[in-house]
Amino acid sequence: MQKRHQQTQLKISHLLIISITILFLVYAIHSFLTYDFTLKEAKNIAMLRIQAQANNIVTDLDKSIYDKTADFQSLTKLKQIQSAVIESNQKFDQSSLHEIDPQTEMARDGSKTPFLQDLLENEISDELNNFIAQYKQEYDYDVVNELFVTNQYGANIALASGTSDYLQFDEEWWQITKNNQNYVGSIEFNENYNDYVIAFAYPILDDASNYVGTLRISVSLRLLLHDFLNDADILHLSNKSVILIDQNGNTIFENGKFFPTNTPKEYFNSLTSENGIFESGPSNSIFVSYGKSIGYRDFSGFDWIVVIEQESSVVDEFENLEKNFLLSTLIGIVSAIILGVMLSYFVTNPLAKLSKLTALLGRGNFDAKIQKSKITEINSIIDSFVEMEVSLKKLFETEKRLAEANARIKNERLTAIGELAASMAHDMKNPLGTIRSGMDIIKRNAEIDSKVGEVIQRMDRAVSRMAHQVEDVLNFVRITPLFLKQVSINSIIESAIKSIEIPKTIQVIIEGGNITATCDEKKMEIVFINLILNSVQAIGDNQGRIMIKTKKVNENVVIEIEDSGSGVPQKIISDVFKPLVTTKQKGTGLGLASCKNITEQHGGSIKFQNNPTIFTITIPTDARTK
Amino acid sequence: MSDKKTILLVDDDVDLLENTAFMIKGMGHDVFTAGDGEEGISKYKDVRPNLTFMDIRMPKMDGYDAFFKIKQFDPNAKVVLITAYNQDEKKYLKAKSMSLLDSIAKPYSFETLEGLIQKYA
Repeated sequence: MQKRHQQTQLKISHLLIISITILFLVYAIHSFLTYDFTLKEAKNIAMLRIQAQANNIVTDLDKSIYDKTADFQSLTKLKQIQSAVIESNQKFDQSSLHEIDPQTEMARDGSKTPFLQDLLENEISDELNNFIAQYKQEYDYDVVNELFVTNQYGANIALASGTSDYLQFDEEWWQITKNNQNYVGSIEFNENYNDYVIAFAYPILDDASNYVGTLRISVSLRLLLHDFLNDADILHLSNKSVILIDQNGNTIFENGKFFPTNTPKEYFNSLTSENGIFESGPSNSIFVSYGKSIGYRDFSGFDWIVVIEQESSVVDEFENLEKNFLLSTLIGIVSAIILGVMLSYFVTNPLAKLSKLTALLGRGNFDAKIQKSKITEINSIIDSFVEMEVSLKKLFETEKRLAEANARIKNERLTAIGELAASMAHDMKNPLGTIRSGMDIIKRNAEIDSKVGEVIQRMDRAVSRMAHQVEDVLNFVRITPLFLKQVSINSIIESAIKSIEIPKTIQVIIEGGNITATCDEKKMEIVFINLILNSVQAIGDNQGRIMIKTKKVNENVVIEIEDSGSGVPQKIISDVFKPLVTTKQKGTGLGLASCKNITEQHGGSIKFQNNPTIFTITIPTDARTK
Repeated sequence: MSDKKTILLVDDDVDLLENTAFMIKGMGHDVFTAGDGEEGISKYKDVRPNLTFMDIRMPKMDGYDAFFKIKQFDPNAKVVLITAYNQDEKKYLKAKSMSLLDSIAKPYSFETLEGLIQKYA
């Protein structure tokens, strides 16, 4: 049964702790997600930046290479060179080739053969030399290390730099230019110059766009990468490494060094599209962005890739924050618990006190005191409580006084009624006495014939009835103290029997030994008189029997009065001991009530049963013990 | 065979007093009456009866006080009080201690009186 009424209960402290913990967790999750997002964004931004930079650099690289090569190519457009080549072509005698070739070599002592001299010091050569000088001035080192022009037969007609065979027609690059295409060489290491160089060759065309000769130039790699190197330096200042990778994954330039290593970059296979960004390295600690060379205008590019590497330490701070964050969440939860406990103390304690006080109030203690709390709401509850206490106290006291007053009034009334009844009963006794004595006198002093005698007998009985009723009223109304004396119960019974006129048709049997008890003799006699009289009246005119049994049970004396009469009617059974309850027209209804009063005054009890009718009186052997 | 005794009756109810006196006279005794406590005391001093029947509830002085006064005068006075169930416990006990013979209730019968007279007078 009880389980149904049990509901889940939460203590305030638990509720608070749970709420604050949830709050912190929500905060933690939210912040975690925010940081996570921000972290990703920061990474993205960093990577996008280097992505943009990579793209820019590669674009610039392509453009600068294009510019340079355009500059080289512009040499082929020079009219002087063009006409000189055409002239050479006209004059050229292929048969004298084998003679000339060795003459192009310089003697060991540095003297030149006239042929060579001629090659070196003609007009075109001057142009070419100017060109070289320009570059040298601009870049402060021998940028151009080879520069010469051949005619359409592959014979060198002007040489500005580098040593070269006279005849170039067997060279692959020359063949390409003969086909009216530009030649772009690959990066090679030139020991003479201790430098990486790239060679270019351009066809020289006449006005009719026919091939007439070739210009070959070989320049330092650094020239082409000049702008790139500047960009790399700038970026290096912000902790970014700019790397140039060739189409096979070999590193052309990194960290100020050309061709620092033979091993290709580990992530080379990831450089799949034109550009991109990704994380690489141990535990993704490096951001890598790249941009592939796509060429510029009619320069198709070297298929190089510009890669920018940046250490991801830029986002390290964020990652630290994440850790700090877990810590702060933990601290938060701990403080939640502490806070919860503290707050609940401020709320739970006063409430607990209040509930205790309420319990006290329930038990009638209206003076309970309670301390004020620091919480406003609790205080208002306390104030209301105190008000209630005061009101209840007043109410209670008023009720009490009212009840007392009522009781007093009732008591006084009862007392007054009692006094009235007693004095009335008493005042009747005298006249009754007069009548009775009068009848006695008449009986003794007059000659009464039987009929008149019967009249006088009836008068006698009437007086007896009145006397008896008066006694009943007085007995009921007066609760006088017990006059205790040790007496024989049987003697009281016998004197009670004597006071009643028991018809001869009724047999009276007394059973049980003689038991003595300490009780009020006169009052007990009244009890027995009432009960025996009831029995007599119940039996009526018929033959009947009254059996009185006395016995001792523990500390009590038990007297049973059984009669063979008709018993107590059903409808008054529950009220039979109440005053003014009677079945007899002539009865006062006080007899049994008096019996009950008297036995209870002795500390005993009275009860009855029907079939057969038995009234049982139980009184203590010594009424003083009660 | 009872000899003639002197009986004193004290009661404020005249009718009852007269009837009772008549009854006792009929028994063959001398009867004196008094209507209240004071009268009762003075009559007692005059008559010195063998037995006194005194009602308790009387004006001026109640039966108990009269009893005490009589007993003062004559410690051997034989008195029976007629109670109307107005038991003043204290006074009753005091009377008892001063050898009150008995107490009877109203209304009393001829036989009761006769018995008491035979017993005590």
